[in-house]
Amino acid sequence: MPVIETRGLVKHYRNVQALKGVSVAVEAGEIYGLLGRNGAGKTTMVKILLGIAHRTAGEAFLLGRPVGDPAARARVGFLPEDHRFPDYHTAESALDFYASLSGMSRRDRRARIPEMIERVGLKEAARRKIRTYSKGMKQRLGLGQAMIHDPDVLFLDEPTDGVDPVGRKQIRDVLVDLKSRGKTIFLNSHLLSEVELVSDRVAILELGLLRREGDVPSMTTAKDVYELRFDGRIDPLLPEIQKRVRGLRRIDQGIEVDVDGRDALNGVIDFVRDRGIGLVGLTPKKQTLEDVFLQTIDSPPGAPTS
Amino acid sequence: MRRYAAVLKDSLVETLDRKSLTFLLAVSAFIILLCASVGYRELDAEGTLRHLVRHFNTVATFRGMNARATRFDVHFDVSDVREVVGGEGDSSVEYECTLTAAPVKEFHRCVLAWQAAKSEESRVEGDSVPEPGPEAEESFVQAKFRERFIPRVTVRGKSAEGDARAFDVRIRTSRRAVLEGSHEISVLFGAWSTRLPTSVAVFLIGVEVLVAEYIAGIFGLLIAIVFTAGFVPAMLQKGTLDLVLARPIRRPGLLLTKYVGGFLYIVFPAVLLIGGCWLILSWRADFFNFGFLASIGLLLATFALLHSFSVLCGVLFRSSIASIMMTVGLWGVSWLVGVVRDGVHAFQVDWAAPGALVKALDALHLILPKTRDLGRAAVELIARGNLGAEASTMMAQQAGAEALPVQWGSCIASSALFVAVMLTAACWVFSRRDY
Ligand SMILES: Nc1ncnc2c1ncn2[C@@H]1O[C@H](COP(=O)(O)OP(=O)(O)OP(=O)(O)O)[C@@H](O)[C@H]1O
Ligand SMILES: [Mg+2]
Repeated sequence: MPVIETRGLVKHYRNVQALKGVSVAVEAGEIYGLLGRNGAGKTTMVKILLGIAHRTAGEAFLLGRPVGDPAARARVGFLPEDHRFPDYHTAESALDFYASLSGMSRRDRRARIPEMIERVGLKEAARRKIRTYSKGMKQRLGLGQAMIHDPDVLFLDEPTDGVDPVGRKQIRDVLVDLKSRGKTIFLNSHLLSEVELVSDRVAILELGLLRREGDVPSMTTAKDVYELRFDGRIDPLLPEIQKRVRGLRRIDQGIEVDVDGRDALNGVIDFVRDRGIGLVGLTPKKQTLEDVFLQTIDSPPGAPTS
Repeated sequence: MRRYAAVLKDSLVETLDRKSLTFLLAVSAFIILLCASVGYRELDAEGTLRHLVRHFNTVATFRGMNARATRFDVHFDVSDVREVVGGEGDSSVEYECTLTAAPVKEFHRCVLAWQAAKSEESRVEGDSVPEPGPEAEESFVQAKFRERFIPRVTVRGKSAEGDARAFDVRIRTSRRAVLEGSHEISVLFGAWSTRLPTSVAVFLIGVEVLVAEYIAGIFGLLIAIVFTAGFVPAMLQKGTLDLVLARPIRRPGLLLTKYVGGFLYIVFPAVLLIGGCWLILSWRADFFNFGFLASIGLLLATFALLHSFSVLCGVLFRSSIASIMMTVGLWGVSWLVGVVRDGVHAFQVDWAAPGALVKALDALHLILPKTRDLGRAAVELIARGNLGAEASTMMAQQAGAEALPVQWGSCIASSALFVAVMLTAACWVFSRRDY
């Protein structure tokens, strides 16, 4: 059973269609990255899952319960984007407040709060009023309150927003650690390189529609594009090779070809080898997630996505 | 349960942070100190009764709507005062004395003027004064005592002594402090003292009404409204509410707990102020007026009414300024409706108000929070506690009891209904909104 599941989720605000039928399923222990431009509907999606906004149509389930049921949120942590803590709290009293709201007993809170403060690196500021905190400190506290009750599912909306590179690395480590302990993480971000580093699966949301979904390795592997390296001079053969492929580009020590299937690829290799030049390397071409993202949102909505 | 306790605690942290609670508590402590600085000393019975009868020569006469006090040149005095301490377990006191009025002629003019005023005839003029009967004289004296909230008096005429009329008077009161001029008052811890011109009971009614109705009931409530109006909008701020709503908590429960949190915020200072003043005043005057203590309930009820509306406004507009203005507005309007309605009903006697106006006022009065009724109920409680039921009714009549009587049952029921409707509406809106 998926931990997070939506079926044809639709959300209309007064005059905006924020979601137009989104279906996703996130399994336990996954880090799921939701990508999309500003206004794509990422936050809306999370808010519906947490019962903060109400869906217009479709279905959504959290840990097997319909969203909106408070019990569904008992084992869930959330780091909202642009969160604002009541500034009369200190890190300590704020964590105590949120932990109690999640139903933690006083004893558990006593044990857990100092540990969490340490973990997010707020030890020195723990007893200072939040109004004296810097942006990054607040973000760390935000992460702390999301994890305070050791939830099974975490929703993180732009978790690295306003955090310095060192802090970002720390947050990534925290996420990897959580995953290793079997937690499910739903990550909203437009920092693609970060999502690429930690996510198992990503989805690209554009204008309220899910445009592409898949695991990171398969998404970043471009289909039918290969890099070939040879041990001889290849230049004289290029015109002939050109005829056998869709695309051809000269790269260092070899060529990059876009071919029509495996037979075409083998045809190119055989052709070169028949001319007495040996193949020394063959790698499927890698794309960055950014390339994929840009390609996806550039293509018209109806176009096939792999 | 733990979750809602956490919300309450959060409200407490919020108030403590704003220093407003500290401010209210400090003001309360100061007022209690002022109450403590006033002391009373009981004076002798004879002096008290002499003081009491000294203004019996003033008669209120009416010309149309205007009352006028006319003073006659007659001197009242007491002699032969005996104190009869009440029977078994009775805290009441009884006095017997001889009351004299001189000269007789002027006394008769005085009695006749009083009779005329009572039957709303024109005043008696000229020198030829007809003699009022002995019964009229006796009821005149009795009425004069009643004017001073002493209902239980027996008066029997005695033979004239020279140019004076004499009466055997027997007064029974619940306690000494309801007699005019029975005590000496000292202010600022004895810095200055004088014979209190009224009774301690009436003086305390004044002080207690000042504390409960003006200081707490207007100034305190206003501050409470201003400070608590920000609770709900602060919680609803974008980015703040997300943190809470993502927790396993129900929205109506969250909002109702916020309401209770705001309410508890006023409970502390109200109990401290009125409870503290009550304790101090009771100790200084040696009398426990539980009516004053009970007025805390009416103050809290008034706040509960206004605060429920403030919470609804907070949910609707998410702005503390809007909330404050609407709530104070509602308070003013509801109070005004109460005053105008009382006025219209009072003048119904000689001016038939249009039926539609009366109906509209009654309808408004029914749906709006009964802030004025609750205020009047508090005054009634305070007066009754100090003077007893009979005398406080007399006092209310004297003060111009044109107002409709406070209907406790319907007042409490409709107030509870108002709170319920406001909170239900607030919860409904809060639950349906997207944040
Ligand atoms: N409360 C609201 N009322 C009306 N429209 C809203 C509301 N919240 C979001 N929207 C609209 O819904 C759309 C999706 O917004 P959403 O916040 O989900 O985007 P996002 O993907 O999180 O963007 P970002 O990357 O900027 O955070 C936007 O067009 C936004 O204007
Ligand atoms: Mg967003």
